[in-house]
Amino acid sequence: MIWHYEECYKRALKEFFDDWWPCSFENARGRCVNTLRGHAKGHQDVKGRILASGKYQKTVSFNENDYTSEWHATIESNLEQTRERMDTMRRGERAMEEEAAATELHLMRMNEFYSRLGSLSAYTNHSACFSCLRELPQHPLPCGHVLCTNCVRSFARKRSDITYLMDYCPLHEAQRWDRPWEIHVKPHLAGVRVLALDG
Amino acid sequence: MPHAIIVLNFTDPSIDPRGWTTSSATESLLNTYSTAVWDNADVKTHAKYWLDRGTSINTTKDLLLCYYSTVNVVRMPQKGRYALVDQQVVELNSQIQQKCALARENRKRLRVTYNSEEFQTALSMGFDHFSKCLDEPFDFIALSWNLNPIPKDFGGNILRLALAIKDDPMMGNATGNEIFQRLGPMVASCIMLDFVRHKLKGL
Repeated sequence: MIWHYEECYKRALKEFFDDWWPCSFENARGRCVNTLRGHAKGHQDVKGRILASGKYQKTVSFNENDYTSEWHATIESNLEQTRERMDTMRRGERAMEEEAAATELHLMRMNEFYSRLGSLSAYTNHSACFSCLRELPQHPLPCGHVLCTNCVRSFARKRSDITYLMDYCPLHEAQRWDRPWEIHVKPHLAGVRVLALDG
Repeated sequence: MPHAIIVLNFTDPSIDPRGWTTSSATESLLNTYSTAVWDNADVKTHAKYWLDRGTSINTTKDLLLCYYSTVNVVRMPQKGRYALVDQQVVELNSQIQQKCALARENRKRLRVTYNSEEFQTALSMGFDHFSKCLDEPFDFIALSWNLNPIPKDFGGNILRLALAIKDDPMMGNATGNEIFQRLGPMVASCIMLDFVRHKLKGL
């Protein structure tokens, strides 16, 4: 299954190296902030002052050659662990459905992940659902995080075909809300409707 | 970097006829002043600036090439030689055309040629930037991300999350390895969730 996704997570790493990770050059005048693709003018600091001439300097042990295979191995081993835990859950007393098991495990992993990072508010994004990293986020929550419809369906209580009640944000489950948050979703087979008022 | 074309006005028409070509005019001017870079105190400070930063500066030309992609000289004669004036004007014009073509080729190679729509975005970002801070350089990388945003697919979203960690002030100076080490379990879990949600087959 990993090959379905391999191109995606390797591309993410490559773009991170090419366009976002700064050169490791540093001298008494300061640190170079230029990235691999933006290094035509040599080493420059954040104000654009020239520090020295020269090519992009890779970070030791974190560059495309050294790290790509490690990244792949990290994903592979984590995926293997997840699969094993899912199998245990499905064979256990609760005999969980595959999707329910995956959702529960994901909730756990995600909470571990976000709780070890800095401020939660830094992880608010309006172009990616930071819960599944897959869909377009459409449903804002009181904490500022925005979820996609699939994640709402997974982590909220269903009240009717089009309303869901959410008791917590899946990114930080421990902080439960006083009152459930109501989310409306479009019925499965309904199209987008536009009400136009003009004279 | 920009191209420089120097026009030497009021040249004595009695010089060697070969001296009117751009290549020989350029060569003769740069040769005459090749050591000026270390004679003039003002210029010397500039040369020293680059020398300290590891660029070797031996002649005036070396220094000029730190600021310009190419340097060329076109001579203009003193009054009276109208045919020659015309010839030099044509030469100047062709130099400008050539350099424009070169610059355009270079932009194409670096994939920064803008169409009218993109140019509008570029201009408005430029105005936004320089109306706030005159001294700071314009971020062309930000512009290129504005024109070609990170794709909204799984790969693009992993990148977005990695960048969010990188820019999180509370994460201080997380190294690249740390960022991706943390991302690993999360990304693997997202893969499993997506795999199950879409009921993809296989192991």
